[in-house]
Amino acid sequence: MLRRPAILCDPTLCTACRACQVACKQWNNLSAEETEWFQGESYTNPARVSAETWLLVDMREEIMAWGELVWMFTQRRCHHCIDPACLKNCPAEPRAINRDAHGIVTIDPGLCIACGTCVDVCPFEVPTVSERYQVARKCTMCVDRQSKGDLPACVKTCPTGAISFGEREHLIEIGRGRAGEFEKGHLYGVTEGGGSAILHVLPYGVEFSGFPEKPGGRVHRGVPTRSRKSSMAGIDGAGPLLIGLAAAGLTRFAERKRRVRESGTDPDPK
Amino acid sequence: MSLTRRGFLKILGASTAVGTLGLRGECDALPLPERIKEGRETPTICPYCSVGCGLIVTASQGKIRNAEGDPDHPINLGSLCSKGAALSRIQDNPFRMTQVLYRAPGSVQWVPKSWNWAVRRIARRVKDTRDATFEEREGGQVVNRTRAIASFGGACLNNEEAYLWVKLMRACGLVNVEHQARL
Amino acid sequence: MTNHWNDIANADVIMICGANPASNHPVSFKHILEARRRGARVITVDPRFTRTANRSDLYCKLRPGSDVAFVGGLILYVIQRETYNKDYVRRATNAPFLICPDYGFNEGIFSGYDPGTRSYDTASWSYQLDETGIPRQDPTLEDPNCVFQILKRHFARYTPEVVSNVVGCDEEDFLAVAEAFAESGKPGKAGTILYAMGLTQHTLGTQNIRGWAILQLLLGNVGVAGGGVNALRGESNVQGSTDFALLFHILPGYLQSPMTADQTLTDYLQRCTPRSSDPASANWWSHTPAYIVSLLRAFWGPAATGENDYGFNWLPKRTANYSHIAIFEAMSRGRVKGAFFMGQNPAVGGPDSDRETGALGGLDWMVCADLWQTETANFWRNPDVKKPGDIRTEVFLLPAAASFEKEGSITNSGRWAQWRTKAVEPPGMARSDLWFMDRLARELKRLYTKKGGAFPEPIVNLSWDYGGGEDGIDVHRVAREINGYEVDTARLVSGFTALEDDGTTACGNWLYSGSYTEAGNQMARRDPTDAPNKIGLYPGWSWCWPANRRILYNRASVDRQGRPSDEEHWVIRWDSKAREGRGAWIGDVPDGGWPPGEKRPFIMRPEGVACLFASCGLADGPLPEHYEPVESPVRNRICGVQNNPVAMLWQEPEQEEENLQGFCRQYPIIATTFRLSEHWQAGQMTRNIGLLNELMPAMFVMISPGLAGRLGVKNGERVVVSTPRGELEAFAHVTARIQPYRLKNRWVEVVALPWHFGFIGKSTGEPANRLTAHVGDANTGIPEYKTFQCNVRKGGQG
Repeated sequence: MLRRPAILCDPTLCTACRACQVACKQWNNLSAEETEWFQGESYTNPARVSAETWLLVDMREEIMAWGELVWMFTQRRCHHCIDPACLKNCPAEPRAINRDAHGIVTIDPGLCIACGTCVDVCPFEVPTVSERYQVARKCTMCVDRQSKGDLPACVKTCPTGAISFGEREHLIEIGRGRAGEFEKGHLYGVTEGGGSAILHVLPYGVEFSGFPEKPGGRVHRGVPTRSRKSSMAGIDGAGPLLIGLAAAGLTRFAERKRRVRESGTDPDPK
Repeated sequence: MSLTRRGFLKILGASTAVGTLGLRGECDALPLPERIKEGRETPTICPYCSVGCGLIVTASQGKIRNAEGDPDHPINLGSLCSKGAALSRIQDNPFRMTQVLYRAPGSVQWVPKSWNWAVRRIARRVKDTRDATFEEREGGQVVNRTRAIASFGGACLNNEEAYLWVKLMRACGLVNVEHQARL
Repeated sequence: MTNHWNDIANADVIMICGANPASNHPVSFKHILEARRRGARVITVDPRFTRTANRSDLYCKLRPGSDVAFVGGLILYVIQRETYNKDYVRRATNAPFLICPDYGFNEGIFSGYDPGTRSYDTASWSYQLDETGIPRQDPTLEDPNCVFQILKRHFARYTPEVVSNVVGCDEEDFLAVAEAFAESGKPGKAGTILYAMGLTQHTLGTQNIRGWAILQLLLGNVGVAGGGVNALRGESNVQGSTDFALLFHILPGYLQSPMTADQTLTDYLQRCTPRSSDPASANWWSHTPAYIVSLLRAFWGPAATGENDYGFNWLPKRTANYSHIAIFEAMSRGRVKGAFFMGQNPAVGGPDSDRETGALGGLDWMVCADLWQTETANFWRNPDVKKPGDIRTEVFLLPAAASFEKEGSITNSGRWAQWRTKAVEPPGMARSDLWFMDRLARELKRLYTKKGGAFPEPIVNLSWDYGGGEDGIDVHRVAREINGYEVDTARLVSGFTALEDDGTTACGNWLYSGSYTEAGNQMARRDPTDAPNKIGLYPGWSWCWPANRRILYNRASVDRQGRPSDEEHWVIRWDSKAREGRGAWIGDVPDGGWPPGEKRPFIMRPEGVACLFASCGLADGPLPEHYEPVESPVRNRICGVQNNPVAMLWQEPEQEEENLQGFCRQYPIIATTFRLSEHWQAGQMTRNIGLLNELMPAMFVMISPGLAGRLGVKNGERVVVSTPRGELEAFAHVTARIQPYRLKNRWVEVVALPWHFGFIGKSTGEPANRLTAHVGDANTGIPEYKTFQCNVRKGGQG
């Protein structure tokens, strides 16, 4: 294994084929979520990462101030923080969340008590309590593959090099170079929230990425989080939860669309 | 024997009956703890688009455990798109056809049949239609054909299958031979 | 593809027009972005701002159906600014050739048009010949009858202003594209064109491709690394199934299928074997006799003898057009009684799919072989059928094996034939198509041998001996027959040059000769090393037709001394010191082994050069001309003829010439169809897979924010889209990725619909092809899926 394995996500190379999203589920035996329509903006589906979706490509359309339509593809996934809020706050005894010697943050399903604390404290809304297995679940950075010398599933399947894998210092160097090609380019994850193993090139800065400028501690977002109570409610709780998520996604989408309409060209056909 | 939660999950790992834990609706993924990814590795080529990416299929006990890009393949170098990455889900899919099905004229349902029955009956129908409609001549000129039978499709066949099908259909006198390349 | 996937990385400019490789050929983007990393510019021209456009350096929008106008403008640009490759044009194209003085083009019609039959007599398009029968040439390219001057005159009307008004793009965008792509005409530079159904699915489909081919020839981009005219094909083996001729007009290896006029083999060879008196022309199709006789020997074995014309008259003869739409039209008139559907699903994928679904009810029997339940097999219980019991069709649905459950080869878009082995057994009773075909053939042979019947000879005598293997049929025996063998010794031939026209060789497809030789199965090779020229040829990986040649027309990449025009990315070069001074080609397998300069480069053409001007062979003109789609919201601004005058129409068009305005009031919006990354073709291969449904769960219509605003429709609400063929309901996907076109002084809206959905499967939706029409390209009959008029209203049940 690498000393400090890291993943660099570069949306400037991403075509949103979403092979990463499928390969992640294929390798990790995750279920397909039942979606009736795009739960997030543009083609984004599902709306957010969950116990069954550890990685997703967030697609947003933005008409920039200079009139250019930019279709942004950003990965949503566990950041594998260097100083993870989930780990610090895990109340299980012994602690269910660990960060190994290589910096990979994992949740031990045998120790997790499904209390939902990590769900609440993660600044990126990543861990989710599985209704099915009664444990919190998230990306493991394919530690099982890494330990055999394989690339993480998302990295291996990416056709364009939009997801690359390597030593963190090396990827920071590459990522800074890529971000530096854009006026407002920024490499996210070097310092944010104490830094993370997952790095994101943000060509238009943090503003359009959907990431918090200053991640840290508990962030209240109005998206229902799974408290201990709901997670213990068993499968019956899953229905209302999914509907709640869908509604939240659509509301945000409507706001976005208003912005596009206001700034976009709307020629009169007559 | 008392089971700790940890031990319970370990046992789940060895069981394939986790599906009864309470899955909502259809589930086309294996339950979490089952992670058998070892087996016989077979290189194959993706059945979706025409890029021709290589995959390695890992199978044991007749079941695909994993399918991912072939890192040696010069075109995809181990990568795949979303469709190729889902290849393993074509097998062991509840929607796969596993029986010969037959719908009789005017019937409102499918009924299962044997291959032997189906092949004999299809051959009979081909022969009856061909014999009844065969044109040896048109306006005095040799044409040796039937226009009453048509064949569509074949872009998913292997080359050897496409060849045999053309050979058989043309020998039967078909001029109506078409497939997806026309569309 | 003239070139292949890895070769895209060698390009300096990549033009993507009528294709969306980021969505539909996602792994190709590995090579597209590799080229970009090395400094190439990527250009996308498309009606929609696609995932491909999003990763391109330049994007220009284009109204569906205006491709000839766009490429015509580019042709004019490179001629006027003289950025074309002058040496290449003289050496490798018919630019200097003189055309008959009777040739003319007037008010949108080429000479020789007969309005009564809606067809052209092409005599006036032919070359002027000298006494020896060789076309006359003017190397100065100045004779008014030479191809170059005709081309120049023809495209003079396609000015940037006209292009912008017809295409609906900004003039500056067009000029930026023109300037960027014209760069590829410089010596040592290469430009590639990647296209797919966005160019072909039009009544001008063939001429769209011709337009880009002409441009590529002018720029010297054919035969070179990083160049070519590259069709990105849709299915994993649609290249192979085309090579093996699952099409009415051809036999394996692109031999023509016999017509009624071919009463004997001699008649056929007279019609189909091109002749050339020019000693510098290789005229490769002059080998047609060897290829057809070897094919007949493969079909009928020892029963094919010199005495019976090798069984030539056992092949059926065609009198008319039996293309997809034509067969369905015949079916809807009750003239087709039985049909096979080998993994095709026209109830979703066919044009005017309700009409085609209805036509299926006229069949006495149908056989569907598939991995899944399909809308076609279940047509008798589709939601529109009120009384399924009234439908008398007998239906057989056969469970087929998936790609990894059987063995055999498939050919990708880059012509690589790749062998697949079996990884697992098919589930339940599912069997490979090969197994079913073998059973059916043997049963038919048994029936005809025992009971006789109409004209039994071709079936009784059919050579069918592939026994062995675990399935009872050995696919390797089939592959060896395809490769070809000497009849007496059963020795496999090493390539098509060993095939004979005297019945001593048998070969199932001359193009695949060399794929399975005495040295073994070449298609199964896995040597990942590159050739010495390091341009990604990988000659030891799988096998590529023809003759393992990875880049077609590669003799055009060298001068008369065999020196490559691009030293960095050379394809072939003549090493005069090799073979003790006799010289040899190195690099890719050359287009024929003759020394440089001995033969002209385009060996498949009787002229020996590529055709800027098609003096024969096309139904709708020797040069592309812009005509409006059969359904269009505007009058043709380039010539006085509204639609392609020889487009294939099966019914009176809904849009009468005089009724254009009334029709467009009723159906004012342009509609186009497209494919998604997450679904594939008619959908069964992806709509039954949860991981893909999760990403793309439902049928939708892309609508611009402006149109949505006027309709009062919000993203995610339901809309109804209607055409004269029918209407469908879907989610509205409101997005700025689709925008109206400005056509001179008015704006026209466009909506786009993915066509993967149908009523059977894990995810379902209404089929987009309910809206499309039975109108086809003048040459191929491909339906005009890519543009038609519709209306959109808010509503539906949800």
